[in-house]
Amino acid sequence: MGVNLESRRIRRLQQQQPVSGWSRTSGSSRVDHPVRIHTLGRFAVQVYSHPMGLSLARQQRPLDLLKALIALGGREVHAELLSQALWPDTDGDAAQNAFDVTLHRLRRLFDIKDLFILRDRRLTLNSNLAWVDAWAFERLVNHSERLLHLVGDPMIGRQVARCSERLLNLYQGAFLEREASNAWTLTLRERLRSKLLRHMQDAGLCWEQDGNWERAIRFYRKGLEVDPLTEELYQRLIIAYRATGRRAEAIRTFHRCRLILADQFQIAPSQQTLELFHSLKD
Amino acid sequence: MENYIVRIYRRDENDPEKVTGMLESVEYETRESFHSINALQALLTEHSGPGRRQRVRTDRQETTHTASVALLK
Repeated sequence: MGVNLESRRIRRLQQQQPVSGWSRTSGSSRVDHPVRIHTLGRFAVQVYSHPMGLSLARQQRPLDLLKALIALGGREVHAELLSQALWPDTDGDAAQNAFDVTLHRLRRLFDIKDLFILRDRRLTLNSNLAWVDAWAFERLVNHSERLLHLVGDPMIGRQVARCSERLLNLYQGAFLEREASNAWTLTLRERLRSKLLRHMQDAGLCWEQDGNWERAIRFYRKGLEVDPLTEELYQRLIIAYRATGRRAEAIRTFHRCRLILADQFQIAPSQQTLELFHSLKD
Repeated sequence: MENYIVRIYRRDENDPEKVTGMLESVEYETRESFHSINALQALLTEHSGPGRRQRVRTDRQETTHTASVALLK
């Protein structure tokens, strides 16, 4: 019943939209996807700009299938792989049946033609119709990595800055972080987290070289929010504070690093970090 | 199946056996540090022992609390 009500609501929204639904809006290069799925830090779905109610118990399994599909790449994911993820204790025909029924319910829930394409038992979430923040993030971070190799050109610097800001906006938290821990979420969650941390460090270094210390500081701080155990980020932050004459903040950063390393690993800061600290006394 | 995340934070350039890192259990949502490959192996072995769940949960609560306090300072 819950699924039917949500589907009916979506159908009403579709009728209020242009037929194509995802055609380019005039004067904008942005493709207006009818479905927008947020997975970074939260799970939320918008259909034609309207939030979809996700609380009904009957929707949970179809939405789990959607989450698993995204987590496993979203393109041509074999039904068997999805079944193993969602029904690990069910085998053979029962798992296949569960998959078929759940996919049917998922399609009914959205009721958008070709949103889910099943071909040769491989399922695809149509990226022409659905925008997924995790995918947008990964495309952008890969693009930024390429740009970072070309830094030196002021135009490129501006592009990197724009990309970095968009990355920070997109990364509202780890992939499906509020969901129950599932093995199938881990690969994408860790890959995105790792890519963000690497970007924070690389882009921060790039801003240092550019003399844009404030931006570098912001990036290192953001990196430490994501992983407060990364000693290299404390080192870069100390260097940045020192360069901008903020000695007290540099010292506080060192002590924070020392405390957290002692607390979490029972170790002292590395020789490199200690040398940076001593340099602050000069 | 058991799932773990191993994060390596420091490596000794002269001794590949010496690595500092964190082992996170996905199932129990716990974090435990290690300082060598042997210690990592010992943690994984220990995880298969009985009575694990209750003990690691308590450890985790304490660790998380201390970490939060440290970050607020």
